[in-house]
Amino acid sequence: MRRPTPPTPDDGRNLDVAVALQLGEGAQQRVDTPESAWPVPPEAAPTPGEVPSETYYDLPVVKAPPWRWYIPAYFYAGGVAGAAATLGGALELVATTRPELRLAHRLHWISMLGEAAGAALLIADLGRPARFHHMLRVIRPTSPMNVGTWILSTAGATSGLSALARLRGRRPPGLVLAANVVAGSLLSTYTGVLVGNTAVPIWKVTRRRLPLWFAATSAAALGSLLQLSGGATRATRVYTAAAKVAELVGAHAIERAAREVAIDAPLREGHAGRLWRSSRWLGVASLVTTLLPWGGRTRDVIAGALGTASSVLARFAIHEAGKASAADPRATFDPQRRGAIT
Amino acid sequence: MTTTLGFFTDTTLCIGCKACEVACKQWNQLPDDGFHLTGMSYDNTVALGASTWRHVTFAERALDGDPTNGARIAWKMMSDVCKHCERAGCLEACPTGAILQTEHGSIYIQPDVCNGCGYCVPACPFGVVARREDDGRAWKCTLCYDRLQGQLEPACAKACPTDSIQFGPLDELRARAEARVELLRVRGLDAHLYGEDGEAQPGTGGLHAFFLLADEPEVYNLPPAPAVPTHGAGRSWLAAVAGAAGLAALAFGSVLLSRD
Repeated sequence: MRRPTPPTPDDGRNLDVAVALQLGEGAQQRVDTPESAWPVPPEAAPTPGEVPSETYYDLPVVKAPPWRWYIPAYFYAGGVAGAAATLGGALELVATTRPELRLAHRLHWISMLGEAAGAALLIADLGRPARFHHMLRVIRPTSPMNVGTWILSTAGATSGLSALARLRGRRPPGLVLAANVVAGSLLSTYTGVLVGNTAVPIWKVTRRRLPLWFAATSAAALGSLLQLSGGATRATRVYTAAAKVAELVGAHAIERAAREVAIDAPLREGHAGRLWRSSRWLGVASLVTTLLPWGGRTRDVIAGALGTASSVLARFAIHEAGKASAADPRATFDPQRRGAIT
Repeated sequence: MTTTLGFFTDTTLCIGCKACEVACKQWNQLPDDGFHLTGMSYDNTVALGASTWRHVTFAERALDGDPTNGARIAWKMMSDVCKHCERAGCLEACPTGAILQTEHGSIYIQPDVCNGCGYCVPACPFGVVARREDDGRAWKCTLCYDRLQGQLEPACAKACPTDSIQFGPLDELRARAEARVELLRVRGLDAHLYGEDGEAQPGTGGLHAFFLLADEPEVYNLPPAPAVPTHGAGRSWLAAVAGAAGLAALAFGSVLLSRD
């Protein structure tokens, strides 16, 4: 029999601790502040007086994920790490010159640190961080979060091994590099499946484009980071410019997919809309700066800073847009009524 | 698996007494989740949550014209609960395997396994599952798994004074529900079932807690065509693989193209 936790006197259970057997399912729930379990987010609370007829008091139908800023921050760290693993692995497999191999070594470190930081952020966001390893007790293909945990673990381990090999001046084994490229590239894209595999309307209707956008924005974020940190080669310049173009195209595709079913309001209005639009403009500014024919190192640093800000904001924007979309009952009802979400 | 058990909630019998909410809270020893007076008819519970596993909705529908000018209104109550979907979004999304389908066909979250990742919360197409922030884990209705072990019906069904909440083997409930719809239609009420089987609601494979509604599902805050997120998720994974391939192509391409 499990050991019951003594309830706090004002937790609303109205149990006499001295005589009550606390064996009910909810007796295990820890209560610090009763208010913390109130099921409606403040932004979704209905305004008194006005009674909308086509919804239930404008209350949300689906619940937004209870994730904090750690998750969009992870989307950035993990995305950069995945792109770095892919580019690092590609350099190891085909490059021959010393600067290219030095760059590969640096990319292994970026990747490993990004994956470590990402894992730390993910664990910190858990309701029960000490139980993080429960993620690894099953292999569950229906859960993108479970698949993602395995992808992150594989990418982290192989990036670490690659960095270790380069530290000893050797080329990492082919199998490690291949696994690093595969897991790394998936690490940058699976997050699109992760958020798309929910009932959050704006994520669900864009779920076939989100992974592609995540791929592009991860590559662009890595490109910006390389611009900031210097040591650019011809290859990284081509990579960075192409990635920034792809990022803008991807963002446009997401907007269009959401607009088709008329649930794109979160990308235009409110907190999420401000973040998204800022990110778009910073991305354009970064691409223009990147393509300038003069400016040297100063140009690179400015383009890198603009691009990094754009990439970080974009992830926070997508996260906030999901919350805003979940809070709007019409975004759930309307596409379902018209058969747009199946 | 033994007989599949579930709820049939007949909203035309609900009188909005909230005995189900109270019985659920008492039996399960669920804690408080805040006090709010909302002004939304008699609904001060507002939504299902981590510590609220039954919720009675109160919809006021104008029948003829403007209710503020004396027009009549219909008062529609429904006791909402976890639907225990045949194909459950929360179960499929759970990365730890904490959520399972029991021998009764109900969906159960194991509190000793749940690590509070919160992914089941947006995965539910009905907004049922919630994470209690100070506890850190996700919670929802268990179909009174503990009571079923002792051959007792769930507390809410036991407490319901009008038998609006009926509990039993699913096939029996379905037959009873169809007879009830027939009767109500003969009496001139536009009644229909919601989520009674996989044919009626392919997105969830049918609900083990289905409803008889006397209005559009939206009136009761139920989605008109819910689907588990994994329904059609293959295309999303395909896009992820395509994106990964594109990322690799970009990496190899930019290295190879920059060669002299």
